[in-house]
Amino acid sequence: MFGLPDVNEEIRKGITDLPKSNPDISARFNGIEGSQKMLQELMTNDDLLESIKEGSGGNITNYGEKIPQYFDKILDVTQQNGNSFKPILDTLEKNPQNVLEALESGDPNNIKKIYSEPSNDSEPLSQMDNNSPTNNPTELFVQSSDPNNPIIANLNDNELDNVILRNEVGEEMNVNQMPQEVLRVDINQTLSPSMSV
Amino acid sequence: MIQHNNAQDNLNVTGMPFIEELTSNMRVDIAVSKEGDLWLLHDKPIEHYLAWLEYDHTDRRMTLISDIGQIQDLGMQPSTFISDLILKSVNARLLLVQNKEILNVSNIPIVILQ
Repeated sequence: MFGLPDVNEEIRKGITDLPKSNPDISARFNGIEGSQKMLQELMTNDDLLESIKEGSGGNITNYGEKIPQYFDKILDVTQQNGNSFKPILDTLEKNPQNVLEALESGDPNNIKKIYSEPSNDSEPLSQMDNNSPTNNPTELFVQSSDPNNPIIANLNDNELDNVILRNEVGEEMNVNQMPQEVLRVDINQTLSPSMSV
Repeated sequence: MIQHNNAQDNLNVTGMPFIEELTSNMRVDIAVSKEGDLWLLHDKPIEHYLAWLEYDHTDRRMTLISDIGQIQDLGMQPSTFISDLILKSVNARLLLVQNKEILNVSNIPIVILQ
C-alpha cells in the first residue's frame, strides 16, 4: 500500500544483516547446532516470524531494536540447554503450536519447556547428525580413560542399537578383556541409535 | 600432557586458573564416528558452563574452555586413529551418563588447531 515496505521482508533483511549490525548475536546464533536450518525457518515460516514479532513486544517502529533483544533472550535459553536448536526445530515440525505459543509469550521459561519436553520421536545416535543412512549400523571408535570399564559399555540396551563399537585403533573391541556389560554389547554389535537429546 | 608447575603457569591469558584435568575427577569416553560425529561421555557432572572445546591435532590434546575463560585439559590423549577422525568434527556432544542412563546432553562447538 502506497509503496510501504513489507514489514516481514524488512525484518528478514534485518536478520540477514545481523553479522554487521549485531555481530555478537550473529556469532552466538551461528555457534548453535541447527543454526542454518533455524535461519531457513526464519526466512520462510511466516507463522514463526509472527510469533517472534509478538514475543518481542515490538511494533512497526521499533522491531529493529526489539527483535535483536528478543533473540538475545532466546539464545541465552538455547545455550543453557544444550546449545542446540534441534529440540525447537523438531517440535516446530511435529507440534508447531507449542513453539509458536512459547515464542509469542516472550517468556524464556516457556521456551525452556520445549527443551524439557522434547519430541517423543527421539532420533537415534547413528542419525543424530544425519550422516548415516537409516538402517546402516554406525561404527563408533571409542577410547576411554578407564579402558577396563568404559562408560559407553554401561549404557542401557535400548541405548545400544545399530552401532558397532570399535576401539581406539579401529579394531573390534577385545571382548575377552572387557567386563560383562561390554561383552554383551559387542556380541550384539549395537550401540543404540536412541541416544537422544 | 602439559604440566603446570608454578603459580604463574597456572593462570591463562585472562588470569583465570587452569582447572584440574577432567579425567582426574571422572571417567571419560571419547566416541567418534567415521564422519566425525563426536561424543564425550562423562560419569559426573561438569561443574562449569562450557563455551567451546579446543583440539590440538599436533599434540593430540583436547581442552575444554568455560564461558569465563577457564581452561581444563581433558586429561587423555586420543589415539592417532581417533585424532584423525576428530579432525572432521564441528561440534561435540557431551553426555552425562549415570546409572546406565543418559541424564544430560550438551552440544558445544569444537575448534580444531592444526
